[in-house]
Amino acid sequence: MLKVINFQSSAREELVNLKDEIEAFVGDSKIDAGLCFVYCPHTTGGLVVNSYLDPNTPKDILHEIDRLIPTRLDFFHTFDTPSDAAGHVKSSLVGVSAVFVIDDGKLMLGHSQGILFAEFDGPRDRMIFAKIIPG
Amino acid sequence: MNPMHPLVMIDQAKDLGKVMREQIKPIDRIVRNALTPLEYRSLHRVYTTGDGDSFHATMAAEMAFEDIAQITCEPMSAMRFLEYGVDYINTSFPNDTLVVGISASGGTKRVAQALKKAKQVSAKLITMAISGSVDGVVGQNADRKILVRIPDMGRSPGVRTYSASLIGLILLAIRIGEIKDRYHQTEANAMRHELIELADVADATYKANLNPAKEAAKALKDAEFIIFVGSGPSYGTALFSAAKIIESSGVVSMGQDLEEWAHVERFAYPDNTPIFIIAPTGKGYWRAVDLAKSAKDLGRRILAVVNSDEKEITRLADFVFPVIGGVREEFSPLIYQIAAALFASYLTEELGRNPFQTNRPEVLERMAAMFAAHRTPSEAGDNKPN
Repeated sequence: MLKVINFQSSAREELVNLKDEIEAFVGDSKIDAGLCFVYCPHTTGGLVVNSYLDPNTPKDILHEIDRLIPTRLDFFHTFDTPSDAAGHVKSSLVGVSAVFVIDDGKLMLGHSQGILFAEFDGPRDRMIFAKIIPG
Repeated sequence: MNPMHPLVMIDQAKDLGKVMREQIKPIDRIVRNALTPLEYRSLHRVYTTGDGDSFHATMAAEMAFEDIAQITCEPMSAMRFLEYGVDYINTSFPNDTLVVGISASGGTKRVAQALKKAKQVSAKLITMAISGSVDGVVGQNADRKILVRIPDMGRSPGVRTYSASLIGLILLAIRIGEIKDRYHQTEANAMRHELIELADVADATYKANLNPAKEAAKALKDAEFIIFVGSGPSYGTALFSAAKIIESSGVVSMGQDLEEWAHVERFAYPDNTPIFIIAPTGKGYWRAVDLAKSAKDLGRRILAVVNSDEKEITRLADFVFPVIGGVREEFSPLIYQIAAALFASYLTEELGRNPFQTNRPEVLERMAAMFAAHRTPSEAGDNKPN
């Protein structure tokens, strides 16, 4: 069972919480137990599981990632833009997939945990795949 | 060497769609790495210079730099830049000024001199050649080179080469804006895609303009003078269009700014002088409508180069050259030039002439020597040292 979530990011860098869409997908699937595999098919975006309750937390995450990999003008990848080049590196560091446990028909997430798409070079049209593996 | 065929530019115009379809991506790849991101990011102004068609291309592309890239652009003829422009450039900061020399042949002496002098005035300036041959004197005098080579179709007044120069300039403008963060790379890529899609507009416009061009040439072969008017990028198109009439048919022609026509040439005789009004949808369109009415009242024969949906100028026109499909004003010179190339060809045929006066043996002989030296016919007679 596969779910494709299409959306558009709205800023150069942001965290987009996809928890509600993925929880609804799990609920609609009627699968009682198994795994939900979430995958981001982009090279300037990634997936982060973290708190979304205080909007300053995503800000801190993005700010610190940006501090580690600032948008410089001397990246080797110059075909696109400096922010695109930085986005590739950031995406590599945070990763593009996450696996969640399904039990009793629900995602086993901590109460403040969100499933956050990390935009590192937006705004762009984006998509996320979610696949349920019963078991 | 044989005289050029009167209709040689028709094949050139027919091929424009193919040029866009096949050449935009390869040229874009060169443009992307012509400067480093740091250099692109440092730019605050661009001077563009050339002679003949290349100068017209600079005029036609000015809006792309200023509106898309949001960077000051100063187009100048090579002579003006060489003697009355480059000495007055602000050279306070390194890498904030780009000087672009355009030469289809790569051998235009004044453009080469302009680039050379720019570097003598200040090493802080970045010089760039946009050319169909970057190994010539223009490329030799430039820090960076953008090769806009297109497959050779034989000798002709430049139509495809002009388009190649325009493509190079517009892609450069898009790249500057992209790296300067005027818009996201997805928007930049959308603009590049939009340029490629103009190939279909070029093909359709070529087909739709053949008959009007033929009919207009028959009706206007008595004209001793033909004027083209346009504003913004269409002023560049007007200059280029007039050049094609002269080069191909030998009929006296000029390109003029819309508003300037209202102040000067409207008072000229004869009353029925043909006037091409080049009016794409865009900023200057409203004034073109006004002036079409004035021209009609004066008895001018009006030839409208407008979008096929256009009504106001179309209803006043004796001949309409419709552009089939939407074109943003910044890209319009790539398409709105087609009418003149076709009209000039049929006019040449009607008058029994050959482009560049190649029916005359002495002209042919001189031209053969020019081509052997990889220079264009318009550069004939220029024997001044570099």
